[in-house]
Amino acid sequence: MKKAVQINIGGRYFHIDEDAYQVLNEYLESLKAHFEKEKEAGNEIIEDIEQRMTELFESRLTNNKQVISLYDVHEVIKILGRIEDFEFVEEKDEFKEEEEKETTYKRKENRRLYRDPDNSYLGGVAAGLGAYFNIDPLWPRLLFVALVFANGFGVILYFILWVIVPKAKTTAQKLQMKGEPVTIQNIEKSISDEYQKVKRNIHKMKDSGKFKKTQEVFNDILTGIGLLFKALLKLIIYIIGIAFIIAGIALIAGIGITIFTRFNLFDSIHWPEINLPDLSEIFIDPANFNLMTICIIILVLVPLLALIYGGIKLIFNIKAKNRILGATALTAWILALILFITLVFIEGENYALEASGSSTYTIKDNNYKTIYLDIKEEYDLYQGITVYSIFDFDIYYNKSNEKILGKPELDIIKGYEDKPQLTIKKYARNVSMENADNYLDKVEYKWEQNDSIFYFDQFYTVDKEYKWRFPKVELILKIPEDQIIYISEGMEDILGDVDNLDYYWEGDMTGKSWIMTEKGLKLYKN
Amino acid sequence: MNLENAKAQMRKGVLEFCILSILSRGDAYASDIIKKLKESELIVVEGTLYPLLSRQKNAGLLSYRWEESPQGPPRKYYALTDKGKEFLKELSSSWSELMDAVNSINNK
Repeated sequence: MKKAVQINIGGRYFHIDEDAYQVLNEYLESLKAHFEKEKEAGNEIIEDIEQRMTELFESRLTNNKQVISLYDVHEVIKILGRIEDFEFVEEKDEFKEEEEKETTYKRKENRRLYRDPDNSYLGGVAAGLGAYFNIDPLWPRLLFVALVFANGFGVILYFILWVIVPKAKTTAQKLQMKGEPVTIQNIEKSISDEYQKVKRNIHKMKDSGKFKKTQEVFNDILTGIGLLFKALLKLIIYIIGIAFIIAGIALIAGIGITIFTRFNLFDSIHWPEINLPDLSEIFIDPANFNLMTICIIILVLVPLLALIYGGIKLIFNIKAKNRILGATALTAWILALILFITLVFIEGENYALEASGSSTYTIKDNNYKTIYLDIKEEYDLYQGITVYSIFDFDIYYNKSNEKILGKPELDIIKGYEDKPQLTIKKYARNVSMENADNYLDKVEYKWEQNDSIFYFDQFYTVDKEYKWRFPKVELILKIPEDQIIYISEGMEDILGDVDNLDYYWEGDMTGKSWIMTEKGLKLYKN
Repeated sequence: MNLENAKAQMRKGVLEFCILSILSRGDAYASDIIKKLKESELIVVEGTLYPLLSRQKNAGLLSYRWEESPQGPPRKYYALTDKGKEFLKELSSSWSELMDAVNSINNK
């Protein structure tokens, strides 16, 4: 038993099965929707078609058959034709087609990949791919099915695409999916297309209700799993993004604070002993140092900024790619790296060689019983002195007179001449090719003799402009046998590892008198 | 240039011509016209005809009147207007010219 309804078409009453009525109604709705834009004329066309329909139905009814069936409706629709079968209903001409082609060409650029829910079997991935590549969705579908047999790769691929490719929900997105520009006309067109589609979908659903239902259940399950994974993925992305941002900001802040304090841009109590620009001046050309600093800042800052940028992009799901920005940053980074390496080589060359030289002075001797060794106090050298301890070197820098200072080492050995002799040996551990010879001349060391008192300067000095090439000054005092010397307290600073028969540490040797014996220096007791 | 479009353009012109031609032999209602067009295989689906009739009528080439039918509701009978007759004459002469031209080119 079927339910029948009564309808009025073209001024006549018919009995029609309910399912047949549904299909007929959809058909007429689709015609109406199509001819709607022709207004008056459109109504007339519909009326004429309805009129014709009446005739066609009448010819199908007999005394034995008073109700129009679904089959009848399908047959009549076949005769009348669906909108898409109507020939030249759309007034198309060459020009318009050319124009369309042009837009098709342009379309490709703003086409975006979406899942197409309107033509979907599962998640609309294949349909979306079809729309994107302008091919029949059958091909992507077949590809996925084929890939299922490649270790199930197709399933995974499909699933991943399902998760990451957004569904075209709005009309604008559906237009973008097909690569059509989003204009008002297109939206209108799309909406009316959709209207037709809905009609036809209803029609399809009626025909294959069962299939649709299984599909929906399957779809629901997969969508559920998909949503779960999507949520997880989003969470992970969020965490990574936030981690990126925090790491980037923390590193920049840390480096910034370190640099600012060490550069003494604001007064720091924590690292008073190291002031990078001052220290660098001792070794490196200030211009080069500034360049190197800029290089290092770029080298460090660019990746950190990229990290933060990436994190922000992840969190806010920004798809836009700023190629110019990326390229600029990368270029800047590479240039900075090249420049930095070059500078390191240039500066490094200055430390390539070793140099040494010595000069010996014979002391004016008037046969003093005791020779006094003392430090010459030079107060101006102590004014504003800064001590840098680098490795095992103590470097003293006096900013006010731009002199770098180092402490010499005094050794006292037995001399075979009849008068005491002082040999000053200068070394430079690292000098460049061009100033290897005269660098040692720039290392100044002063001493003086005042009767029986030898005054030693506490420091040897190098002008800042000649840089610090790790020079060293050794003082070797040769004392003839039986000569008595007094090492004053102040000498402790420069006294090296002096061999003596009493095995005193050099610190303990000061403030005492010594006598040179045949075997070596010996404590002299009055 | 695509074949489908060229064919459609051609058929459209011919179809319009034929509708006028059918009506020149006497008034007819839609189903009569359809029958003749279908016999000569000019149309596949009937729906194609109605928009054309509507347009020709709106262009003043056709008029229609309602007539009682022996069975069923009244029918819409289409007739050529004077303008339609003029239009048909023009189309006829240009049709023969075209036929001659096409034939003479094709047969050479």
